[in-house]
Amino acid sequence: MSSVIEIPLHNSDEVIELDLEQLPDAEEALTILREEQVPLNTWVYLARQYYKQNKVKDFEKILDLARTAANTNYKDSEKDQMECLDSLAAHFVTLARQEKERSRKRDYFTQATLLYTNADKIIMYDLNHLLGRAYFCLLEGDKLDQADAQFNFVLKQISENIPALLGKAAICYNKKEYKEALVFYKRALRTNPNCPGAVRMGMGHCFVKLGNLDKAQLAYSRALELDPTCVGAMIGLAVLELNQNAIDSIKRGVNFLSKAYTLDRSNPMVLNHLANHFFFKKDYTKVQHLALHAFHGTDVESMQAESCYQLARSFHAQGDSKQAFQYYYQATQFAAPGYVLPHYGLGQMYIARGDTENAAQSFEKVLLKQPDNYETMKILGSLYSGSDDSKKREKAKIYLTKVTEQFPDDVEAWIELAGILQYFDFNGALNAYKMASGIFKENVKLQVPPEIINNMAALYHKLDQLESARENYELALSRCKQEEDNYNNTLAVTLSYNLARLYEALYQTDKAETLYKSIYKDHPNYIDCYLRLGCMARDREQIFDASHWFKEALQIDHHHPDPWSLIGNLHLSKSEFGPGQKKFELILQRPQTAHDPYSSLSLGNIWLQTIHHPMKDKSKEKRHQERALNYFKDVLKRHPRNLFAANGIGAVLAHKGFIQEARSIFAQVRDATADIPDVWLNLAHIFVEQRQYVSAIQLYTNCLNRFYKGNNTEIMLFVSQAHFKNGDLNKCKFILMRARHLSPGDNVVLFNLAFVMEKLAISILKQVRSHLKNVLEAVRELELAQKYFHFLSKLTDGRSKLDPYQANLEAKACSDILSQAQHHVGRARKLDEEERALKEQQEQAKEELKARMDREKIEKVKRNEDHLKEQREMREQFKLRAEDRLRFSEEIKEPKESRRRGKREMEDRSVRGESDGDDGIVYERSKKKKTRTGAGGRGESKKREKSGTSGGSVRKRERAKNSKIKSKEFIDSGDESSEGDNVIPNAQSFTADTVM
Amino acid sequence: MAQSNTLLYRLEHAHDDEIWTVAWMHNEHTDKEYIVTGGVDDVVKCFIWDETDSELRLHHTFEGHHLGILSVDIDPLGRYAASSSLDSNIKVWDLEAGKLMKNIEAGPVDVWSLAFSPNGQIIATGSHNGRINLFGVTSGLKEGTLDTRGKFILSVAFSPDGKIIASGAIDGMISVFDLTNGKIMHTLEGHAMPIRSLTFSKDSKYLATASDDKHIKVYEAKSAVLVATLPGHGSWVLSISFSPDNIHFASASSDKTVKIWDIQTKKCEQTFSDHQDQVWGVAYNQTGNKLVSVSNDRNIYVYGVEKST
Repeated sequence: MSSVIEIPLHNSDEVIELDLEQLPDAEEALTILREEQVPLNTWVYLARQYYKQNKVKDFEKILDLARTAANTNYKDSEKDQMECLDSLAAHFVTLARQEKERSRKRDYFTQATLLYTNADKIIMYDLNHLLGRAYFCLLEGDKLDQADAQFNFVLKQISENIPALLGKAAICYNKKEYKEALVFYKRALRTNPNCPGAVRMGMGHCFVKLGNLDKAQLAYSRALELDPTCVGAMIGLAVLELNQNAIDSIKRGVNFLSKAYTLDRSNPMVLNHLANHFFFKKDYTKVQHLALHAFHGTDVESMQAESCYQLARSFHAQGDSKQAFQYYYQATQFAAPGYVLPHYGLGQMYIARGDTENAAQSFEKVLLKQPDNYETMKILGSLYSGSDDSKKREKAKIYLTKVTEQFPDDVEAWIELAGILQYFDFNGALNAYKMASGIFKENVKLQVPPEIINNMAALYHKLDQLESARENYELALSRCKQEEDNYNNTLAVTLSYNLARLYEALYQTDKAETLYKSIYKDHPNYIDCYLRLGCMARDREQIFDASHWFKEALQIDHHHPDPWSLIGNLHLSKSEFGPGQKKFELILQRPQTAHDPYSSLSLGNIWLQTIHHPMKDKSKEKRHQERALNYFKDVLKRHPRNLFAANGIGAVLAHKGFIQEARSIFAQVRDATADIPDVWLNLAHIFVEQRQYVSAIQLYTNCLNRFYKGNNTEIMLFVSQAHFKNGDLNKCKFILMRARHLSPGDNVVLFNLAFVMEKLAISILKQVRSHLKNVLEAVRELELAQKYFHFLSKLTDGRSKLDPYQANLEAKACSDILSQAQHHVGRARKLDEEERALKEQQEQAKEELKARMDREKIEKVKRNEDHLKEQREMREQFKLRAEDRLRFSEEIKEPKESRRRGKREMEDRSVRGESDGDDGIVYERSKKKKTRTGAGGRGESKKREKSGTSGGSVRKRERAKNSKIKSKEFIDSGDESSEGDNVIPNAQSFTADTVM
Repeated sequence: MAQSNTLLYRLEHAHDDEIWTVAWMHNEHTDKEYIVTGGVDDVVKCFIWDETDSELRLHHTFEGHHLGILSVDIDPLGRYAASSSLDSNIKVWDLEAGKLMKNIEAGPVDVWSLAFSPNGQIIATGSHNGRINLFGVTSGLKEGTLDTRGKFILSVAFSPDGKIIASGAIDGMISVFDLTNGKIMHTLEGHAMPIRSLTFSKDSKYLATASDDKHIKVYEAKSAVLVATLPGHGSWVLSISFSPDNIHFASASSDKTVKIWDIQTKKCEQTFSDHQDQVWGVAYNQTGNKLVSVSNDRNIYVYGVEKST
């Protein structure tokens, strides 16, 4: 390199020599250049010399002026113009790259863009220009494709253009195409084996990304050999060493980092890695110092994210969760999509703050990038398991199942999994607990904690394996009693309560009672004990005791909705609707329990039962319907999965006459659960309404057997009514007999039984051809029915569900029919006698027939003999007259024919004989048929009843009930009042029949 | 004293429909073990338990009732059976001759389950108005009434010494009368649900009551002191019968089981779950080594009660 530059003088052959070692001031140089109209290439060359001597400002000045003032009046000056513009632009790009301050950075970019655009106008496809532009694009970050296109263009011109190859490598690296990047680096290296260390460093990065750590190390080391100040290679080596996680390697790694740090104190990568190192050294002050420094030393967001993360982590470790939260949050804002650590930290912060919603979101982000991360799945599973959202619980189940699959020894995961499953998969949950306790016993060599045994017991209880449940509760309880600390004492109380509940399920009420009492003796505030004692009394129908216990509970917590609800139910069971209603309204009046779904449902039901009565005032009826509907709707709005509310709405719809809609609601509810008997009943009511009596009866019966062990008079009444409407009076009567057996004091049953007996008797009496025995029986039943009606008509009990007047009417009807009974009996007796006579006659006829047949038989035999004789004679004659055959031929014919006729006659006769016999049989049959017609007649009357009923008013009795505390009383009471009304309408519909 | 009991014999489809009631008595004259049953099919059946072959033989079928047989009892000498039905009739049958001896027509709602007095002269039955009606077996007439002033009386029982009669009402009230003066001795309020069956121990010391509240209570008959409250049945307790050993008694329930209890330990000793439907009746024989149960499943089961000390 010459150390002198010659500047040709204008219009002369002389030159000015400038010593490069002692470059003059830029202003001086510029004066010369301008005055001597020096060609542009010299300007550019000179400027570059200034640049090399770090006289950047001078370089800038010269090139800037060169654009306008330089002599371009020579051949190929355009190339030099390009170089001028591009050099200046490249300079600004470099400045921009170094500039941290954003606005200034933007200024540099603008200037560079301007210059490149100017250059574009001169020679668009100058290779160096293109390369410069491409690098500029690379630096701007978001123009990778543009840069790529330009590098490609260059490589098309010169296939081994090194800057283009390196550019391509960088692009590939950015696009995570590490193998391709490596190929470009290698091509560059092949073209110029003396490439700067940075190429090796790039290769090192590629190897790291490709997982080839040995080669990466070689590449970094080579880079350092070529350029001992290559900070990137040092960092690369440091990371490799640190990741080996051995004491020596960490030391070496830290050495590299410190060396890098001394070389470049502001390199954020170095700073971050050092911060990371000091974090593990627990030197949080240094961490914070370095990370902050790094943060301010870069504008690369992913780098800043790392710095923030280091800061957050150090604050986190120091327990400053506020600052930690802030920095984690900031880190997540800056973080590249793959950098999930800050999300993890942020998630932890959210959990600490109790914000599970956001915490879950954070961890979901982690899991998105690392789908098999075990800890994250576990945390998410745990977060979701507490959720109300069934979808989230489902997710929790999936995560935790995965965790337990990956790490079958993780007790915590099993327990968490069981915790989720216990909502919907008792067996699964039980199994999970079994796994957990197995691990406790075998791997941890510890006793299974009583909590787990308790949960297992509870699951056994739910699965109806009551003995296993009892064993587990008792085991857990004994465990608790081994430790005498506070926690175990509390646990023991819960366990005792659970055990008491189990004793109830085992029908060992004495033990349950003892336990409840022992609990509240030590823990007088354990309100559930009082409630259970009350419920047990309630189930024995010891209403007074029940009420006492519930009031005790209120002494403890006057605003607790449960005792109020239970007291309300007691009122309802006594048909005290007013006080019952007040209790539930009281609950809803308190702001804390303003939306108590149970109370809303109960009130809905109270309104619903009022419309079981037929109301004259239609607007009032409508109002009540709306009130009921509003309560149900309100519940459904807040609890979209509340089946009782849905059922209630179905019931209101049915009342309004939307039978099909109601049916579809009930069907849906029943599909969702088979555990609510009321839905079965409502669906059956709908079937009745739609005259699908057989289905209705089946559904009622199934419900009766499944939920009430066959003992529920109310449902039996439903069944009997369906039978009645179906025209099956005998079945109706039988079911009512059973109901009467169960509930001897139920006058409705008695009335209906009397009524169906009356109907049956009438239908028998009306049959002209009824058998005497049946008629007599009918009269007897009619008498009994009359007695029943008479008894019922005399009832004066104000609370009776029956209208004595109606009973009186029926009694009269019975006696009216009975007054004609003698006529029926007489007729039947006459019929009976006639029949008997007829029978005798038949017998006689049979006898006669038999005699005749016998006679005929004899005759036949005789005639046969005659014939034979005749034939023989004829044969004789034939023989005799054989010679005169022609003459006698006619004569021969005749007897032949006569013989045939004779035979036919006999056949005819025998046929008739048989048919006579047949007649006898037919007669028998017809007699049988007659008795059957009697039954058939009933069948006919069946039809009539049916059509009659259709004319009568048909009643629905849909009810909705709620289950929280199963309140049979409530249900019954709901009907009690409706029952009274139900009977009468039925009676009316029955009466309609009678009129017919 | 522990017992080990086994199902000895089953008679399937003994009636055409649900069987609601059973009684067992030995007749010394004929030396026959009579088991009388009744149910929905309106028929009272008299079986003879054949001890040697361990089987039941149908002896008589009595027809004439309507609307289902509610209750049967046999007089202490094993000569007659009385049956009550929903049609409010009481019929007395001669078990040996196999014919109707007496038909007593009571009021339409004046009959429920019945019981023979220890001397066999009186049949007691409850009525809807809370009265115990006493019918003379020979006269066929109502010869007396005890008024509990309570509700519908579902069950009645004489103490074997003939001094006391107890009744159980539909609301769970139990009234104990002194038969010597016809005065009420005690009113027991332990249950609040229907008492479908009650019985005295053979020594007249204890009164056991069975209720729809799933509980059995045992009282000292004379003092009315509650001796035990026995939970364990999963549904209504429908029938109860004391063993002649005065220690054990059997109960039948809607939960389809028959249970044998020990009054000393106050524990259920054994549970039979053989029936497929509600068990409406149990009865010990007079020696206490057999037990019979009848159910809605139409079957009659006989159990052997082994005594072992």
